[in-house]
Amino acid sequence: MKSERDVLKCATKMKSVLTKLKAAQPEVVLISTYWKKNEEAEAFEVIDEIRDTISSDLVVFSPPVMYSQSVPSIALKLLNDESIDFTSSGNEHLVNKFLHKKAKMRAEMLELHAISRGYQYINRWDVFCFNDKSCPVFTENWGLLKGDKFHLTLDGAEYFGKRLKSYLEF
Amino acid sequence: MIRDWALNYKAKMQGTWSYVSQQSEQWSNDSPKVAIIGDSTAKDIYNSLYLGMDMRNIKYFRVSHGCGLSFRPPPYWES
Repeated sequence: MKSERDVLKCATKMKSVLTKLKAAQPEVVLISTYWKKNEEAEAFEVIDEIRDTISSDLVVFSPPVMYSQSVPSIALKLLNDESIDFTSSGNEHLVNKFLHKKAKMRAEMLELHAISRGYQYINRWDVFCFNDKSCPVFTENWGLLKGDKFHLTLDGAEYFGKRLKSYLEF
Repeated sequence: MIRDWALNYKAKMQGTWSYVSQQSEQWSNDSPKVAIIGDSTAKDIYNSLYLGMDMRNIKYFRVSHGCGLSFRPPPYWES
């Protein structure tokens, strides 16, 4: 539960951001958030407010692909596993057991919610992962894709951006 | 050797966090084609457009913690 002070602070901040957005008049607004548990409704209120304020196209992103442990820790475990052949191409088999299954379920629920409201929705899991069950830890050159459980490294951002291209309509 | 590798990536990861703010100031475009709004995951999108799609006409608007589009704490390092 937010205090009155927090509510006022948020309202002031949002007003400021919306004023800047209106002035900037971008063609497209991309909205991305972690979508904290039990805060989905509040987040959609904010998105509705943005939609009502500006005429730009809106694109809503799903929560990030989340792993059960920090990705550097997973990478270290993988590197210490002598049974893995790092000279072979592809690393799909490396990551399956480290995915956060509940996070994926929440992403799918939010997708239904977003589509019902008519927003263009991009599911990060579709962009980032190989398939429904397997997401990568490394780039092709064994660069690390994430710096914690879900934030991208610079290598990860480059990887994600290249794959994202075909999902965006601008 | 593996520890060196990990520490190198820790440094890279921290670099990611300063990247957007530096670039946002540098590219203070008043009329961006694309605006990105949200928390730290929106920073990831900004970096992705910048590095993966070579987009420059973009601007990031941060919405801070607890304001609907929540801002998460900085990344941590699990030992």
